[in-house]
Amino acid sequence: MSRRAVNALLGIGLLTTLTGFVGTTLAYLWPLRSTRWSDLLMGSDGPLLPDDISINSGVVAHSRIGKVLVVRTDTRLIAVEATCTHLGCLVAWNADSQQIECPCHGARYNLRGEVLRGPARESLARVELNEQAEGIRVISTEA
Amino acid sequence: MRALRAVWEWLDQRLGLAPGLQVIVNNLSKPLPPHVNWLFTLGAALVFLLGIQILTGALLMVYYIPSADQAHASIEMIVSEVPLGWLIRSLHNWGSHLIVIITLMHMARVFVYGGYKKPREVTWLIGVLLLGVILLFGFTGYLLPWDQVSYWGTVVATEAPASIPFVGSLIRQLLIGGEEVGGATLGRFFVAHVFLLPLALFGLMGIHLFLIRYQGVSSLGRIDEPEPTSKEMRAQGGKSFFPYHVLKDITTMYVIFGILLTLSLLYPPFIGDPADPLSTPPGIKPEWYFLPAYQLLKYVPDIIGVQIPLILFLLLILLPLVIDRSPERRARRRKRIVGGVVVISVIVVLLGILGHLSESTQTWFGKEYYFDLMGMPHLLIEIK
Repeated sequence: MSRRAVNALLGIGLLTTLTGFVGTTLAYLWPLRSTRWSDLLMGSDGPLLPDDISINSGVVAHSRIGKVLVVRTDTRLIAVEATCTHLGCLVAWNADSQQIECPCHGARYNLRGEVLRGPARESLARVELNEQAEGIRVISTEA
Repeated sequence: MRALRAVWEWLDQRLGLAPGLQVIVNNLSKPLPPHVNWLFTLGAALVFLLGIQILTGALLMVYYIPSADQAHASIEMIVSEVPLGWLIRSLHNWGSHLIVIITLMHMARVFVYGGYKKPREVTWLIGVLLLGVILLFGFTGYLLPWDQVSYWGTVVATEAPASIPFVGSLIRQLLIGGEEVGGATLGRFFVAHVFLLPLALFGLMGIHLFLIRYQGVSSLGRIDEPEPTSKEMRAQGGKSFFPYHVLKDITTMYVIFGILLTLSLLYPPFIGDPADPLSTPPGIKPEWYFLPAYQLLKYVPDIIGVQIPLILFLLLILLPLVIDRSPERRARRRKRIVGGVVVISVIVVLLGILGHLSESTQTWFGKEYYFDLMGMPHLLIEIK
């Protein structure tokens, strides 16, 4: 076997070993699929119940689609995804301005999730809910 | 003394250390150029501060628990129950600020004296990498107390890379270990902060210091002129590194230690409420050295805002390789490049000040101002 062939084999062997190390490390570090949250909205103290939200106020809860802001108007519950589309802070309902506001960089949205003021450029996705006795469930989202 | 000599002889007979020791002694007695002044002790001050960080960091690790449920409580325990725990944490916190300040001063000194020029480009490049490592130390350490400010500051900071086209979202997920900042993020940041970054720091710092001693401090002459020999430097008034410059280094270390201790005793860092992933408090701001980038993100779309700090970092790397290849080292003969750096620095500082002032109320000259998100002042009341 020629010296060049031996060198090539050694090179391939080294590369394979390195790929194995890098691959294993990446696989180990790959984010785990979160099975912690379900359709049921969960607040800090357990399942979020319809009565937990008073009129003209908003609550943020965990769900399988991420964090959701639920606002109770005079007539019904309205929900949008709670993560600001600018840089990931959680939006909150401001009862005085009747707007959804981000405390970090000041983005504002209306109750349909549409941007009223930047720096956010994309709307918050609306979330359809189903009120049940054991709590509020997420049905679907629409951008 | 006799016992020490006996130990040395015993080791030398077996390991042949004498020639190596002679190389070190010769190196330490080499003279420095006569222009070397107190500003050239900042590097040694950094080595000293990094030593303090390692010591206080190791002590904090004894009690700190890197889990989302216990991190905050363990920090509270360190500052309230562990004897002198508050001081150790305060030294670690203030040490991190001083390291960033002195690193920037050290880099400014190297820039002004043209020390990054041929043949010392590699030393500069490793220094730029060290700046990156130091900023990453700050970034990863910021999350560890797991209070509201550190949690949401990290949410915003880790959201920024998500705007990089195509791979941004994947990078963010790998960085934080999931869809949102949580226990997995804390684990990753902790390992980076206490193991990976120190490893990188030791390696890079070792090469950096070796190159400085191996190549010596640069002269002020043009790069196309031969550098002065030891004899010429002595004739011009240059003194040996040891003991003359070493004594200056030690003096600076003590002054810095005095400042560090004073700040740590008078202003121990605050620990806020535990992180609540369901509520973002108002006025979230990152560490002061990330404020310019934070403020920039308010003015420009995030896809651009994220790139600009990376471009600045790239400019530092390209400085000796592409941007400034003129043979002159003296600052007054490099007016264009010095002017450019001054303008960029002023903009960065201004952004930092605006970031600091934004969303706060300040009283200046008897008038109360509210600084809005963009950092613009609004007169609230006149105080009589």
